[in-house]
Amino acid sequence: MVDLQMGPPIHRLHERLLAYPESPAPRGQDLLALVYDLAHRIDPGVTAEVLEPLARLPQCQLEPDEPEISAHPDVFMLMIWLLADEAFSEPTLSAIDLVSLLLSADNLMATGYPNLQDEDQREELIRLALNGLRLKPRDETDHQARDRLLMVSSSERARVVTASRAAEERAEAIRQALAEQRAREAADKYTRE
Amino acid sequence: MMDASVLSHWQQQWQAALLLWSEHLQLHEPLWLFDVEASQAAGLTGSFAAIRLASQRVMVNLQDVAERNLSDCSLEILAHEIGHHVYAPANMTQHLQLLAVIRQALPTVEHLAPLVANLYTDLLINHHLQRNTRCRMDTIYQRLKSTGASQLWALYMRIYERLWQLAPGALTDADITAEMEGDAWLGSRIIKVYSKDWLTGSSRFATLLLGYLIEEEQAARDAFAALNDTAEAGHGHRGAGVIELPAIDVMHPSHDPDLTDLPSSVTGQGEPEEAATETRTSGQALQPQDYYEVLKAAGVDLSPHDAAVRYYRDAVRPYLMPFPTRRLPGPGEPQREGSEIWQVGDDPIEIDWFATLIAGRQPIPGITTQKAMYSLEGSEEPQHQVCDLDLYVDSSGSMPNPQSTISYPALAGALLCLSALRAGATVQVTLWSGARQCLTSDGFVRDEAAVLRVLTGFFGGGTSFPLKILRSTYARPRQTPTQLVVLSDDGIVSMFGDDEEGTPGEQISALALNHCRGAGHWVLDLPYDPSSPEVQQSSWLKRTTDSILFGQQQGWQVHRVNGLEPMLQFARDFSNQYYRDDVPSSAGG
Repeated sequence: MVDLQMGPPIHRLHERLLAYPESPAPRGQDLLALVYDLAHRIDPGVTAEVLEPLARLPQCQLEPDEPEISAHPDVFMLMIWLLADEAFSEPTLSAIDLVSLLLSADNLMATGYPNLQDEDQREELIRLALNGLRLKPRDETDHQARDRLLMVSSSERARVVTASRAAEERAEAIRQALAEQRAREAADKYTRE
Repeated sequence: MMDASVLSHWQQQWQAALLLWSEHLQLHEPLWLFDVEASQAAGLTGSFAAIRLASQRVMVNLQDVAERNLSDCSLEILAHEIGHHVYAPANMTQHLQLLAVIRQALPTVEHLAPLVANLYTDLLINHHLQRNTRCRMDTIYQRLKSTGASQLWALYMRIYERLWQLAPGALTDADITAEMEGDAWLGSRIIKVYSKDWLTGSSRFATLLLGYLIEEEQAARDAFAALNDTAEAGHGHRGAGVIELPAIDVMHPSHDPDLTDLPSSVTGQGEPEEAATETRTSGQALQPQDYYEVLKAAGVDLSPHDAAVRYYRDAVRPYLMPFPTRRLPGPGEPQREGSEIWQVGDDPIEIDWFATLIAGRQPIPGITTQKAMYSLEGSEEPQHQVCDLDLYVDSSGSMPNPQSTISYPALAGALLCLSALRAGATVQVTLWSGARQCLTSDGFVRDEAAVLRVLTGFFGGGTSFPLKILRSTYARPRQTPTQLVVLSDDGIVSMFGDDEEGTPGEQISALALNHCRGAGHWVLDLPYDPSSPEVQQSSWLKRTTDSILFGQQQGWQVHRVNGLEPMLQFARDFSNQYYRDDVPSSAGG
């Protein structure tokens, strides 16, 4: 397993996401230019060949006057905003990892439009971004970083919530059966008396 | 014995702990307890720290803290206790609401609501402190690591591990099943998502814990005994209870879309309307029995009857109204006429100590204490005279027990009593049922608790109107005009039987209406309208309808009360119909 580089403190990245601007996000070619800039800043040696797949992303092909699908930013835009933080200029990063992360951004989380007020969703997005760039939050070990990513992952959540709900439904069925049995016994007793 | 430096250290940490919450926060310094005897005397048993919401006090058993190897966690312990005062539950009203909401989510184990409330508020406070201050709350739980087999303890610790992203096993060595892992995740979500709307979160949390509590009640109690610092938080509370709860659905947190935030394809959840099997509890009023149970759960020491007194007092408070007065010729200069007995409930400033001492007996309040009587010479300006209230409450088996379920006649009675007392009137209340079941206030009094206590009593026996009391009260015309009110149902017909001396009830009734110098009212909880032609033709109801008709002919005003709105309507009519300022005065209507 590859060692992870030390990244920014996680609380700083939470603050960064909470400061996501309200003004309309760039789209189409403007967005593509922004992403290229980001890639060059993170990895000055990046080549056009590495960046080429980004041009095919739907977000980079939108016309400026096309209506927004959602009032909330999608995972892709949030990743761009997050990684534009100056804290990411310190570690040595690979543009290949960045491009790979951005290409898969829309499928990383269970929700395409995370709620920024939800601490767990912010945490998941941050840890996915760091992991995609082979980074870990400052002051965490590799092991901790991987454990904590698992803790906040949507798929893991889905698995444990399903287990919890199934257990609750089984327990509820037993409780109802007991309640009905008690009611029957009480009715029998009443009839006998 | 504790070293003085230990106390000094804790006192310093108290100031630091206050600052963690706010620069402007002021609380009494904690009650520092140094041994078991002192702790027991202060009511601190089982836990090493506790709060009292009524006195806004924190108590810490320093010896117990030392024995649990927590002496170096002074900042954490104190900041945590302060958190109960400023964050959750913060005050007695919220504490009672919290307990009431949790009770609704714990069918069959409602009595464990205090434990759940404590676990929940601890989570809220500890998470805030761990995330936003230098407090290391996890240290406390590492030290308290339980070796017991409580599944609930394991779940609770796993919730903390998830909240604080600790390595699995940091706080508990127990095996965590997939189901428990899911519950722990949901528990951590509740704390994060409902940190502000924590009353709603409490319902979800209680539902999450329900299965564990049913499975292992005693083990859970034992495991958390040392942490139960809010068990007696309501001790000494004398204020209002909780009458009504906000709208909160009871549902398992795995069905709450705000918590799971996963699309239906991931969780297998159906459409929102069919997913949740929640029970709607929107803004419902608590019954007197629940009101009592909630107060008891908060550690408030009172009887069910005392709780009922508070319940009806709290319930009618928003509706208190101006009590009827009569217009009288205005007074001139007050002229002293003599003295009379000063009664308990009168304004103490009215005691005429000179007259009391002149009487030559030892001053006993209400017995030998005197107050001056004045006569008022007539003048041009009219004055309003407050009418006294004479209330007869049917407590037979057909009436609801006001201590268990809400009784609208009792509610109407409480409203009249409190309005009358607030206006300065005196009140007599008589609770009646069978022939020998009669309880009355000590004549016409001004003691709010005493009249409500009689009003909210319950016999549940036969139906026999207390004609003897009616007869003796109105043997002579009342000096003060009096509103005569009977709260009953179809048991009102017993008013027209004979009394123990053989006097016909019709005669006593007529005399009472004549001598009360006010008006007579029947407030009846009837499921049917006695004035409707169908009811009047019913042979089953003939005796009742005939009696009601006869009563009306005698002069009784009949009010049908079978819900909150009719009750309020009666109360409003009662106030306005005869005595409103712009309506000419009429004694009996």
